[in-house]
Amino acid sequence: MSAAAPRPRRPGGLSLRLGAALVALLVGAAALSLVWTPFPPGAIDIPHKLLAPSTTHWLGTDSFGRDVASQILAGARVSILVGFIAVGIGLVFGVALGLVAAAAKGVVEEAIMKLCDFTFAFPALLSAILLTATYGPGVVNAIVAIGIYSVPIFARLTRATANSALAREYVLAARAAGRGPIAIAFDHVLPNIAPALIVQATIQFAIAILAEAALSYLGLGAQPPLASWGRMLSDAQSWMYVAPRLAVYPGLAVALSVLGLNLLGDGLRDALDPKLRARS
Amino acid sequence: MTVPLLEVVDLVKDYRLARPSWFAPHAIRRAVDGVSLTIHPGRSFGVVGESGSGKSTLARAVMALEQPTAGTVRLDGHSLFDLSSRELRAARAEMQMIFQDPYGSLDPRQRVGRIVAEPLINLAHVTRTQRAARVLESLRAVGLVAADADKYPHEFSGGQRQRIAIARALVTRPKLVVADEPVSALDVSIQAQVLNLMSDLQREAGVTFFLISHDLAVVGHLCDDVAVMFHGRFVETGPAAALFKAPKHPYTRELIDAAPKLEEAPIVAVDAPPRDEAPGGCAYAARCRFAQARCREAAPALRPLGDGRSAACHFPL
Amino acid sequence: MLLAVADLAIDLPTPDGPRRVVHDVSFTLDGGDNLGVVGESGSGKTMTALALMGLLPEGAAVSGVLRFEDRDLVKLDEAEMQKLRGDRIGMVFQEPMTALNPLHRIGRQVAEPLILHRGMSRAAAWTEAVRLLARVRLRDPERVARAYPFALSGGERQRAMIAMALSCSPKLLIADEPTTALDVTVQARILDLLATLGAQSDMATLLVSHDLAVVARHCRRVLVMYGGTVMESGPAEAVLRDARHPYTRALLEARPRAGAPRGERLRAIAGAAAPAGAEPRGCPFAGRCPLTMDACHATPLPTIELAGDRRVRCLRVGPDGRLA
Repeated sequence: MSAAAPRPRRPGGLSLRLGAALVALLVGAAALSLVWTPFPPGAIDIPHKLLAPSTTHWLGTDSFGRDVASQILAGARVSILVGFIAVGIGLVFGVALGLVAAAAKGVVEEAIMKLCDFTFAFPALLSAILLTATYGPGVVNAIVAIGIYSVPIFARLTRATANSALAREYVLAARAAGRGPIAIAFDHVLPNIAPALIVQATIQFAIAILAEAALSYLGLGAQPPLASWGRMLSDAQSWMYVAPRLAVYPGLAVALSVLGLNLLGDGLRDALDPKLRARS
Repeated sequence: MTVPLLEVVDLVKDYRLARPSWFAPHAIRRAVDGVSLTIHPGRSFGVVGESGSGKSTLARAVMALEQPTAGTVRLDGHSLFDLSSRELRAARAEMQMIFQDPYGSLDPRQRVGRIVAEPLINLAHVTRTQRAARVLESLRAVGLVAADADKYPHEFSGGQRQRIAIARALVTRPKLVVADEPVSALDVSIQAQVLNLMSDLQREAGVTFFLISHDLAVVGHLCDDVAVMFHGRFVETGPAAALFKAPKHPYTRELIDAAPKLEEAPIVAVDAPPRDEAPGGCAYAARCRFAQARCREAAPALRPLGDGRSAACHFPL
Repeated sequence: MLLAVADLAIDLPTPDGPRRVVHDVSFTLDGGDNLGVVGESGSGKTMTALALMGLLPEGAAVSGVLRFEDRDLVKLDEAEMQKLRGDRIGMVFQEPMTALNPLHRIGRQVAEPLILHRGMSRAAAWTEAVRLLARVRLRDPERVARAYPFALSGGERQRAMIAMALSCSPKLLIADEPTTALDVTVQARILDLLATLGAQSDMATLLVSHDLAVVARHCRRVLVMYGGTVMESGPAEAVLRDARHPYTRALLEARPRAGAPRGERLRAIAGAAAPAGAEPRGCPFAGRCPLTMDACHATPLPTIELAGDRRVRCLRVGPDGRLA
């Protein structure tokens, strides 16, 4: 037992702040690249290839003379696009399926969950590769492939949290007041499961970025001249002994983005939960 | 003869349990086993029972929140389970419910004004402006102020939250309010406040309560007629005062004796191990001080004993 | 003197700084005696019990003296407290379902303190556990010992918890709302059981409850707490028959009585309990009390000793020991 002064705790402070800062950096880079980059990201300039970082080319140039810094900025755009839309697909379809499963119960719930299990059974990345290889490489197909794999994750989470929300007395009270199942889902269930979904969304975002990088690395994602961190990694492979820095920059970009999103997710989980639990 | 406000006839509710093995049939648990009651306007009715008695299931069935396995529930003469879902939603304006947990029965993410207004959303004939006025009227009736409508539930204490729940139940001006353990989760001093409020509503707003509680004193305070429930059945019914003064069923006697009282020591039934239950006999026989052979052979029916009293016992006290 | 508590104060950490939830609490407990601590939520009664067991939430600060068997509990570290818990001090909590490990059989849980504190072998401890389960009047103790918590009823689980608490024959049993979650018929039996066991083994009992009537009938002495401090104390019979503190009086009058005429207005206490620490210098009940004076808000509470080992803390109590 301590006879010293009591110390209060702060919910998730550091993770939240650091994560938010890194994510802001990511979004900022993407936004910036829409209006300005030091050089056009796709501009090939062979005479100036494989330059070391300098005041003109802040991070140097790659094997085609393209400015690395500009490509990093433009690559952020693709990462965000993919993350956003893939997570969006996952949320819209996943939450809908999860809500239907939780509300309908019985055979319908079993069927939806088995469908999710079925999707989980396939290794996500391999299936994404299969999809893009079949329907052609490109950023759109990459988004679809990654999105499909986010759906069962959100469906499972929604079903679990919706089940516990539906068991609460305020849902029973809403039924007693005459509200129908759809009204209850929108008015009572969604707002209460939103924190868990938000946290999962940030994590899925990070996964989407990694997946996109992997697909681009294999040549199945964003195609040139669209800048992508994955493609930069792939190109850098051939020049590992000459200019290893060409792999470090995009690798660091991916790592920091994923780290930032994960920290943000952790921080949000801590920040959102106690508030709900802090009843008088 | 006025139409009774609520009539329940031979209500039965079974729950399906997990199968003991793949080929065996599902086990059935009979939560409510043939319950009938009548509530007249202005005469509040209380059901006393312990956990497992089926009283909460009964409350939910009366509110049409659960589909009964058998039996009818008539509100103002209309059989609830024969109505279409639209008609049922309209009927809900006449009956509302208060729940036990003041922390769980209010959506933590909605403001109080919105929570109290919820039953009105269902009613087509109340416009938006009228809704706001009714919410204020309801809040004032329970001793809260207009400013409270903009706050969130977590800003209130347990007793205040229960008032909000009562305000919500009153907003459609229902004839019947079903209250499932409305004060059990509250401190004694707050309990008294809420009970006074409920008494006032009975007197001034003409609200009739269907009260479920394990606490005899609470039921006695608010209800004119009482039924004692055990293992899904009513074992005794009658006017509250008479029932508590001179119970006819041994279980009622046990409940009264066991309740902690200041005036006298609780009479603890001898802590004898319960005998094995005999299927087909009286469900209470295993615990009953006065049980005899006949009790284990045949389950007694609820029989009138005169003066509005009934008991399900072969040897009423 | 088994237990002597003097000037106990407990501070809990909050985002706005430390908050004093218990202050100025003093009482004694002799071996074999029976003390009830009564209060509503926020009265500090649970915190007091937790302080005795050294189970306050992290970051809490305790000051004052908690003398148990000639050792000051405040000064002991966690390792030494662990040696006391389950051995010299037994505890029974309100919710047996959460206090029992759902993954272990009952017998194993009851045997645990015996293995830990008495160094018994698994087999010997199991046999002793079955004997203890019989002692708490459980039907078929062998079956109960082999069962998991979910298979038992609330009353059976609470009896198992009591068996666990008593396994090493502690000198002090602390029961925090042991019957609140149980049906009234089961409650009566469990409280009766506790009283009997206490008498049989010369064990002191500290019963914490919100229910005055429970404490009245099962405790020899009572402490009435409000707003983190003791308002009145003394022999249960005397305090409840002839309460001297306005809060005790109000609490007694607020209960509905089963035989009373329907709709009779209860004498409710207006307002709601202020969070502990709201009135740092005066009486916590000031403002809500029907007998409040101006002085009540600012003057520290006196402790007035009355005949018959009674104490009242109220400015309104005159030299004759009655409310003026």
